[in-house]
Amino acid sequence: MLKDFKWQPQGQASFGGALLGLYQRLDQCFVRLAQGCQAREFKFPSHLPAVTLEKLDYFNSFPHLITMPVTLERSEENLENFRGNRALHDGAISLTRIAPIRHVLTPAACYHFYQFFDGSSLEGPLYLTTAATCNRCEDYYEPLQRQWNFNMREIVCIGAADTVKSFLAEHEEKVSALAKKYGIAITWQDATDPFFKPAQNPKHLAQRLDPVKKEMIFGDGLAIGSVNFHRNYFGEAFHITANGEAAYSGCVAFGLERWMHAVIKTFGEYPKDWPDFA
Amino acid sequence: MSEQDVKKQLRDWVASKSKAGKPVNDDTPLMEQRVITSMQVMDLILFIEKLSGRPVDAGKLKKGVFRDVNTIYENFFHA
Repeated sequence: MLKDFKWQPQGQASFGGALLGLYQRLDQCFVRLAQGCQAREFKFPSHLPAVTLEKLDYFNSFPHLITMPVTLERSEENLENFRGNRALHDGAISLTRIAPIRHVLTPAACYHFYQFFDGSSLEGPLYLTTAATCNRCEDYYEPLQRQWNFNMREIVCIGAADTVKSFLAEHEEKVSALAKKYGIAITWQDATDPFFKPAQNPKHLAQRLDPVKKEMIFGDGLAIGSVNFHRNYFGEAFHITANGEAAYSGCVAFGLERWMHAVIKTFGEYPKDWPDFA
Repeated sequence: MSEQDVKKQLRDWVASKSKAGKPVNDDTPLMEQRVITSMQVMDLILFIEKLSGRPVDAGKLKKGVFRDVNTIYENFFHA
């Protein structure tokens, strides 16, 4: 039983004390990795506009993962109706009329960057980093391993194709070295994104034939992070150019709770046995 | 059909689908440069079936088979 840890079966973890210390040290460890390429750090809001995700065909590719922030339609009558009939039914809120939903809770940290640099002509490569609480609705949840809300640290490169490919290759090596240094056993595996009905989605077939995602696999198959080559997909969608052509991009992503799981699984639940990640 | 004819037909088909309108060589990385987008992969399979006269089982395709025109020729047309 982990100390200072509380799990809600709907896929949400709360933690403090030594666990929070581990979370923070892991994140700082990845921030130092980002500093190696002089990445600029950003902080983004919790929501992304629906129009941003529509540009990425997200609603078609990942409808099963989406979580949306819902607000009530703001007429006094509607708010009074809600207030008067607010009893929960099996834990669920009885809604009255809802306002149009124009946002989605962030599903992946790096999406914010493409929106932020929308329309930019880059004079040189961008190296960026951010951490975000991400939200993905799943069929089942497991503490630290599969959560509705989880935290992701990303290091992103946007620029010319060769620059992005070098960045990804270099960071794959750096992550391998970092995992080895701290005794976390990982292997790398080609992977595809978790598409809805993959057999019917040509994007899944395309990713299988030309892999653009490599996952850092811990233990018996848990992906604790990934290296992703987006080619010029985001550059085209958001009109970001490098050398006059659609920019390429790539990211290195770390699932912070999953790294915590890897540490606990490897070294046990006593904080004194954990690496310091200094 | 000769190797050169097949490769020319493949190049022409790819060029006709490419949004960028860039020249397509036999070693142009088709998927990496998104000359062929993921949404066009099924169309490419249908075109290869038509050109080769043989069915292609998409489920059995291996990584890298559509890398460039040379690779497509080697995987689907080379005896």
